[in-house]
Amino acid sequence: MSNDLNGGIVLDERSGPAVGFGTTDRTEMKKIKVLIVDDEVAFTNILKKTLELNERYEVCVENHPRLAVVTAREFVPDIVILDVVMPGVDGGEVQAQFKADEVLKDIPIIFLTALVQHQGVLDGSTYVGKPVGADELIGAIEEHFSA
Amino acid sequence: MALTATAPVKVLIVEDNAMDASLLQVTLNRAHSDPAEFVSTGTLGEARGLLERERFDIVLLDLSLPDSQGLDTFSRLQIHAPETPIILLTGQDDEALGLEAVRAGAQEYVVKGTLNGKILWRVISYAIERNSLRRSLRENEQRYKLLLGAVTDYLYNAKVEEGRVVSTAHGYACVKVTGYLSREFDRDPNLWYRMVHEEDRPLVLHQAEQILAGQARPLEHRLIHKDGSIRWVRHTPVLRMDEMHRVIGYDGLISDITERKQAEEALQNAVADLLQSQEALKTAHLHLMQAEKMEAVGRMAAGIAHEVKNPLQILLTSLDYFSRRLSSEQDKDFDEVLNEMRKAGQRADAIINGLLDFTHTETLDLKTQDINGLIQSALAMVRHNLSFNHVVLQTELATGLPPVALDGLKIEQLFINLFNNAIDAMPHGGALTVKSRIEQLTQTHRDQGSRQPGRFYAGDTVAIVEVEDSGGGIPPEALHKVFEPFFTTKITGKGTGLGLAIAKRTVDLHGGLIEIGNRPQGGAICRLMFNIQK
Repeated sequence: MSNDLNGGIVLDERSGPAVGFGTTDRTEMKKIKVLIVDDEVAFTNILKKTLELNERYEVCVENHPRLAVVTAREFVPDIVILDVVMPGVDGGEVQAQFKADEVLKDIPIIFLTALVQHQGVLDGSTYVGKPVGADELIGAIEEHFSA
Repeated sequence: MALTATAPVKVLIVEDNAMDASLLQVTLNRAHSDPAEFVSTGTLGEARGLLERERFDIVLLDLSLPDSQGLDTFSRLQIHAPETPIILLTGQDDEALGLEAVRAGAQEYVVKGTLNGKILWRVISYAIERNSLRRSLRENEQRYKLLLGAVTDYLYNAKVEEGRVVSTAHGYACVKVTGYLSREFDRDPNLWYRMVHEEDRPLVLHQAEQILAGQARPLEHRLIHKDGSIRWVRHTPVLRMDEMHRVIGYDGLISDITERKQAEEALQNAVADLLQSQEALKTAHLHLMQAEKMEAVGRMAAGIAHEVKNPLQILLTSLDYFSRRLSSEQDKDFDEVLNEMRKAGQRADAIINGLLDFTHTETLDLKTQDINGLIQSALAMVRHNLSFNHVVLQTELATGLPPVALDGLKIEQLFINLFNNAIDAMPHGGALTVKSRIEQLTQTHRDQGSRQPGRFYAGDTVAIVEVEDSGGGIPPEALHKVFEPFFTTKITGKGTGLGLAIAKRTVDLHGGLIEIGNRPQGGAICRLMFNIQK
C-alpha cells in the first residue's frame, strides 16, 4: 500500500501550527467540526483534547465504527478522520456507508492509518500514516478548507 | 595354377591385324588341351570397354593399334586392368620397346612370328602365376601395414653396465608412438628424456633412478610426439638382474594411453560440470530459502509495525498536547524534554519504517535511466545537508554514459542515502566525491562474502558509480558487517542501521553490485556497478 502512495502528492511539512491559538481572527470564524472514528480510545481522547486547544475545531469521537454513520448524522461533521484497521467494520466500509448516505456523501475523509508510511492521496482520499504529529494532521485538515 | 583349374582360361587378344589375331588363337588352341576362351578386339578403346565389363586371366596386347601407338598403348590399357597380367606382342624390329614395357610393369613380351604354341602357353601360365603371387604379396603387405598401424605399444630394451645405460634398442612401433625411429634414439642419447613433457620430467627422472636402483614401477606420463602433439604413455619397466642381483638391463613396454587419458579427462570434466550444477542448485535452493525467510520476516514486520505504530501515535499526540499546553509557560527545560521525547518517538518510527522497506518483497519499476541525471537530482536533495556540514562537493561524471534500466525512484533514494552517509562521516567537514564512468572489466567480480557466483565477468561492460568521503573511514573489523541489518557505526540515535542493508537489497534487485571499502588516502568509498544492456 505504501508503494502505491509513493507517487502520490506529499503534503508540505509545516514548520509550525497551521493555525494559531486563540487569535481573535480565528475565533470569529465558523468552527470546523471534526469527527474522529478510531477504536483506540486513548488516542482519540488525547487527539480531541489536542485539537480542541485550538478553538477553531470542534471534535466528536466515535470509538465504535458500526456507529460511525449514526454519530455522523447527529453531529454533521465538516471532515472525518477515519482509522482503517478496526474490529468488525474497517475504514473502507465506513467510507462506503458515508458515500451511500445522502447527507454524508460529500464530507471529506482523511484516513489515518499505520498501514501507510507516507502521506498521500489514493483514489481521491487523503491518507496520513501513523504516527503523525498534531501539526501535520492539522495541515491535512486545513488542506480541505483553504480558500 | 590357373591352368590346372577346371575353369577355362580367358584370354583377351588386342590385335588390329585380324590375320595375326586368328593365327594366334589357332596356335594357342592347338598347343593346349584344356578349354580356353578367346575374345579378340582390334582397338584400344574396345579393349578398355571389355576389361571394364569382364574379367580376363591374361591380355595379349599389340602395341601398334589404330587408336594408340607404342608404350602408351600399354600404360593406357593397364590403368583399366591393374590386376590383369599383360603380355606384349611386338614386331621383330621393336624388341627394345617390349623390354621397356616390361620395366614399366608388363609381365612379358613375345615377338610375333616366332610364336611356338607350347612356349607361348608357358609364358602365359607363368605370367598368370607371377601376377597372382604378386597380388597376394601386396595383400599381405597391406594387412601387415594395417596391423602395424593399430599397434600403439612398443618394446625397448636397455643394457646397463656399472649402473649406467650403455645402449638401447627400440621396437618398430616406437615411431608410431613417439614419431622417432629407433636409430634416432641411438644417435641422440638424450632424446628419450627431451621428448618427455616438461612438467613430467622430474617424475620420469625419478623413475629412471629407481630402475637403476633395482626398483621398477610403472609410470604414466606425457611426451611430445615428433609432430608436436602431446601423447600420454604408460611405461612399464621389467628388470634384468645377474646372479648378484645387479641390474644388467631392463625391458620396457611403452603403451600409448592417450585415448584413455582423454576419456578420463572427459569424464573428469563431466563430473566437474555435474558438481558445478549441483552447487548452482544448492545456491538456488539457499536463495529460495532466504526469499521465503524474508517473506515471513516481512509479514511479521508489517504486523509488528502496525501494532507499534498505534501506541507511538498515542505517545506523539500526547507530547503534542503537552507541548501546546506548556509552551505558553515559557519553560525552556520542559520544551527541551518534550522535544527529546518526540525525537525518540520519531526514531522508533524511522526504525520500523526502515524494517518495512528492508523486508518488503519489492518489485522494480525498471525504465531506462540516465545515471548522471539520478546522481544530480539526489545531490540536489542533500545540498542543504552538504553546506550545513561544510562539505565540499566534487563530481567527476563521465559524459556519454549509456542509459541503464533502473528503478529511478529507488536508485535516487539509494544515492541520497549514500550521500548522507558520506556527509555523516565528515562531522568536521570534508569533501564528497561522486564519480561515474563506463568500464570494461578485466576480472570477474563477486559479492563480498557471497556464495553466489559473480554477477560480473571479465569482459563485461558496466556503469560504475563511486561515492567517496574524506572522513575517518570504516574500521577494518566492521567492513564485512556494513550490509547487515541493524549494524551501524554511527552514534546511538543517529542511524537506523538499515540504510546500507536497504541499499544492498535495492542493488541486488537490480542485479548490480555494491562494495564498500576504505580509500588509501583516508575516508570510505562505496562503489556501485550496473550492467549495461547490450
